[in-house]
Amino acid sequence: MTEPVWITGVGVGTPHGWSFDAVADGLLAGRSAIDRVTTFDVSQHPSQIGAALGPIPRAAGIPDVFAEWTRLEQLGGWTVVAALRDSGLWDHRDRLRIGLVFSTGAEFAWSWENDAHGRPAGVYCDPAHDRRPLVPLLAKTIHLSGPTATVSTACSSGNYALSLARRWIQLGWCDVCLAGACEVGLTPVVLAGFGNLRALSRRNDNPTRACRPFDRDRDGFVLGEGGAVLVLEAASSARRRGAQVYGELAGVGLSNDAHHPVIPCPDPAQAVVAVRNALTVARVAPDDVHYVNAHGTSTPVGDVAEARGLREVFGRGYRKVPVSSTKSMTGHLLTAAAAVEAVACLATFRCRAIPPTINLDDPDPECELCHVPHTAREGDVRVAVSNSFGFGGSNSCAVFRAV
Amino acid sequence: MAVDLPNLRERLAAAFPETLSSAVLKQCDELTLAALDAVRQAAAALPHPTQDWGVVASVRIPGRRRMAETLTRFRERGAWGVTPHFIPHCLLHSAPGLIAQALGLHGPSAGVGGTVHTEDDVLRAAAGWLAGGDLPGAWLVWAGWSCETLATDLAKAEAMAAAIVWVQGGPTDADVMETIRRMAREA
Repeated sequence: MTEPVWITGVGVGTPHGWSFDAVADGLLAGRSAIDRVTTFDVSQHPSQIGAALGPIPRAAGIPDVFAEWTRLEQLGGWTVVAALRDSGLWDHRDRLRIGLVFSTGAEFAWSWENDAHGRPAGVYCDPAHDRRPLVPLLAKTIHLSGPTATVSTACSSGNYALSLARRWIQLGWCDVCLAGACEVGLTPVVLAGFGNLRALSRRNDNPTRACRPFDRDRDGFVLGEGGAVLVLEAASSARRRGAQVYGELAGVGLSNDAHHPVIPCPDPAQAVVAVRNALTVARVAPDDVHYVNAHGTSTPVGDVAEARGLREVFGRGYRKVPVSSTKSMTGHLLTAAAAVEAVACLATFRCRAIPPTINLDDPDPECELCHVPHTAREGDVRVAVSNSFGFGGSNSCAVFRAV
Repeated sequence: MAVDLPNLRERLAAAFPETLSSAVLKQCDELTLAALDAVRQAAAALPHPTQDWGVVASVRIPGRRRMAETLTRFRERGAWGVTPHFIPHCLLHSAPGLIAQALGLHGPSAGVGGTVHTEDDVLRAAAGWLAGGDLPGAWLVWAGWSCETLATDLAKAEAMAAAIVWVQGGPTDADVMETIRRMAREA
């Protein structure tokens, strides 16, 4: 089966809001969600800023046990249920084989830390206190009968989840597949770990101006929290039931640098392979791309490598393809970055506008691209591309097409 | 396999001198090293590994000991006591990334499952990408402790690796899944 796979539901939660419209509004308004971290003492942390998620709402349909869930479990529950409700399939889920491909690469590390901060001292990471695995918990709570998988490729995880869910639909292994990722990584140890890795911006005195992808003065990324889940189904199925359609997931390209666990490969050859594979699968020529949501983390090495790769993919046409990094507003959502940036791409179709890279005051000449600095740009976007790369050398690119 | 870390690191450094440094191996989680060693052994029997293969690995549950140490150091020394190596080297993505680096594999490499009772995630993920044409072949890797405990001297690290290719017109999806399940049980 090669029929198109459409996106018919979105469940999302970021500091910009808890619906597709709220998140789209925040991104297109160029509003930074980054602020000083106030939920714990950051006075000794090298980086003291982030885009923190507030209290997580309980989605209708999640049982009372929601209050006892961890924040990661709550966010997973919210995004999955909100996506299914948005698609109109919530009340039909018992009659469908609904799959779930979900990315959460650090669920145990996160719960160990969460557990430790609640204890005065003593044994940490005790197996007796381990939580249940998240994906089986969600599938059981929501009564999903299709195949499930937890997938992690660090910061490219969301696109890998979309890739696998798209294949499962095409292979007929499920009628509908939920795909996405969540991250609540603004914790004392995670903020310290990335800070000590010298990966984070230390522009602590000016949080909203700290994340500046492709800018000459960028000094690292900023941690963010949030998540998104998309509902995927075959186009014929969506047509038959008159579903709303956000867009088509036209193709996903995946590759690995095989270079280093942490250091981005300065040669973008394998990132280029991922983008070209995605365009080939989607049957889209580089000239037909109307928008690129860049990985654009705001790190010195990564942004240069990505810009070089995009120039190679688009050739002389690179000056005409608008590129922005929404991480300038959301921060870097790590495992969940690609899932939320998929929502940003879908927003360009609905809103006929391209979100900006805020804080891009002085573009780095080595990052020369057709940037969209400071404010959103109107545009009739029909094809949007989303890059995401991660630790372990993983590269990914998703291509979305307006329907 | 029982984990004799110094010898294991030495063996892996000798096996992959062009692609892995001792500095990287020093930071790796024990289960990542066990997973890589299983692939090393299996690769010796594979005549034609290809660079466009990928890795689908389930490491169950990485990083417990290192996280316990990290939390203790954070309690004692604050933020500056936190190792920067935990996140890149001790999470679900770490093993497939290192295996890809060691073998020079440029196909998709992913960590899947990673918790109890999610070992089948490897099969569902690999079969989806193989059947969908994203991968010509893949290393399927499972690793875990014989029991979950903080006292790693009481547990054994166990790992298994299998090389798999998709044959168009070959056995059905269900046949393949059952074969791999049987292999996993027997191993």
